[in-house]
Amino acid sequence: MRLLIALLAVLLAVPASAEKLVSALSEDAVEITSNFTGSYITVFGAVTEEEVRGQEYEVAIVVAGPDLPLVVRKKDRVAGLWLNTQSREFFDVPSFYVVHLSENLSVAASQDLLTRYKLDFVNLGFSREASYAPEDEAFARAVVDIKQRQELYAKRGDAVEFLAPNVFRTSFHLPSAIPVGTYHVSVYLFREEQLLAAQVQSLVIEKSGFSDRIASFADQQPLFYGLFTVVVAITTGWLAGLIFRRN
Amino acid sequence: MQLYLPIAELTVNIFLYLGMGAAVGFISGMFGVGGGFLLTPLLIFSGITPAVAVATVTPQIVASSTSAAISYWRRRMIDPKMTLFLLFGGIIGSSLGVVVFRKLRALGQLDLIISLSYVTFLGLIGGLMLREALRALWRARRGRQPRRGGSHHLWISGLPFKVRFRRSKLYVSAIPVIGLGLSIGFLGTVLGIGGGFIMVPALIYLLRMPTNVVIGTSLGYILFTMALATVLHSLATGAVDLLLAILLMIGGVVGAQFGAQLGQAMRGEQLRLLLALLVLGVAIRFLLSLFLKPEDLYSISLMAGFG
Repeated sequence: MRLLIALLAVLLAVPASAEKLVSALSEDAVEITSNFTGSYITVFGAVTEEEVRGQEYEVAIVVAGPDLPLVVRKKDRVAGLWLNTQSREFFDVPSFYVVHLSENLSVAASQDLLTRYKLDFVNLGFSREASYAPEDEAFARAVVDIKQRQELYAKRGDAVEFLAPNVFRTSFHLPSAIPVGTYHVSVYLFREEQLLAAQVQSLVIEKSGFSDRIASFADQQPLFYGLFTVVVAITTGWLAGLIFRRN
Repeated sequence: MQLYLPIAELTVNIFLYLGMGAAVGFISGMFGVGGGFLLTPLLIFSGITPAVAVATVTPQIVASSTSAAISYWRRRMIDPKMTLFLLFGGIIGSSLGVVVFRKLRALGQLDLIISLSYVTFLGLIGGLMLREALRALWRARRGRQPRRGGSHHLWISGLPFKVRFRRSKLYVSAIPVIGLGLSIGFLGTVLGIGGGFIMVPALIYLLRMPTNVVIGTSLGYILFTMALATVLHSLATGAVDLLLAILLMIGGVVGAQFGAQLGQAMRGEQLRLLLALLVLGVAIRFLLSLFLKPEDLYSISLMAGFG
């Protein structure tokens, strides 16, 4: 129902001016509550233009999480033991980066286009930086590999569905281990690899309810959080002793 | 049933961790040890980061020691003075431990040190326990009485600052007692273990404490040092996950009750032999992780001071 309303809102919001892109998210905030097992966010888009020409649109949508500084460590064999020996620091690694492409783009897009609009992982700030030094490149590639395994990075072709020649939709999966923060959802509209329009919206992913209260308690009042945890532990142990002694 | 852990920042199956707590609780109840040396590796193995695993096991050890400590206290099987002396060392040791833990985490060598320490200490203690248990079994078979009491090691009886511990019927220097408390408090905070499996043999073989007060005294010491470690970890590393701790506690206290019943039905030598094999098993598991080629040579972590 919510999706339908969002879709309607998009359609109604489309003004009758030339070549305009309007997009909307199914929600602008995702709350991580204590029973959070992952979620979906749907992005809708609609294009208007004065006359519909023969060529179809190409669409790319990127959901990017906040940049965070990472340390990448590499293990090497030292005297038979596998130890962390080398490390690299990257200061601006997107915590989440998922690209959805329409079918025509995934089939035929040039590497140039993918690189220019960061529809690939090779041109993200940290990868580009690392590409100047061959010994750093492997570290940047490892970040992408690990993030892909964690479902935090992904690139999916044929993932944008056209409901009409000028209306499209795609759904992004947000895994349960998704980092919190302010995300950016970028929608790019191309025709024959020429950018016609682009739009960026923000999406907030935050802890909410009970899990948020615990996290902020631990963060803001660490002493009382620690003492509280000890009290919980002692009470649990003591209660268990009572219960089992009676039995 | 799924639950989002706010500090570990991932969603887990409740029953997996209740079960893990129960299994380790059973073993800890059976042998009268904290079980941290099993629980911390299990958590790490299940995908919890080493930092969160170590920090979260500390309150779980508090919970599992509490009910046992209360019952030992009632039966007057805790030496309060000895516990206080051990604790004095434990406070210093835990504080040092939490500082070292932070340093190692920032350097990226926390996992290595945890693995190396587990191999060294568990291997050493497990080996000694195995030898002792096999000897005891051998003697029991030959029908001889095991040696009891005896004198302290020469170097310990030669130390100054002697204190009388009435309930333990001991007159020993405070130095090895405080030193023991300090070392185990340090190890416990860095490794996420209570240290009972080191404390119990040390009290028996090093201080020659009578066995009837050994387990109670060790439990009392562990209860307080781990409570302190919980607070210190909350302050210094922010890695204590309350919800995960509660799951482990509930599983743990229930498992411990059943374990304790089985433990009372078994003979001391058999128990010690089993515990020795268990300790050695964990040591070997860590040894393998150091020597076998890891699946992924690379690992990533947030830079210290973020998240």
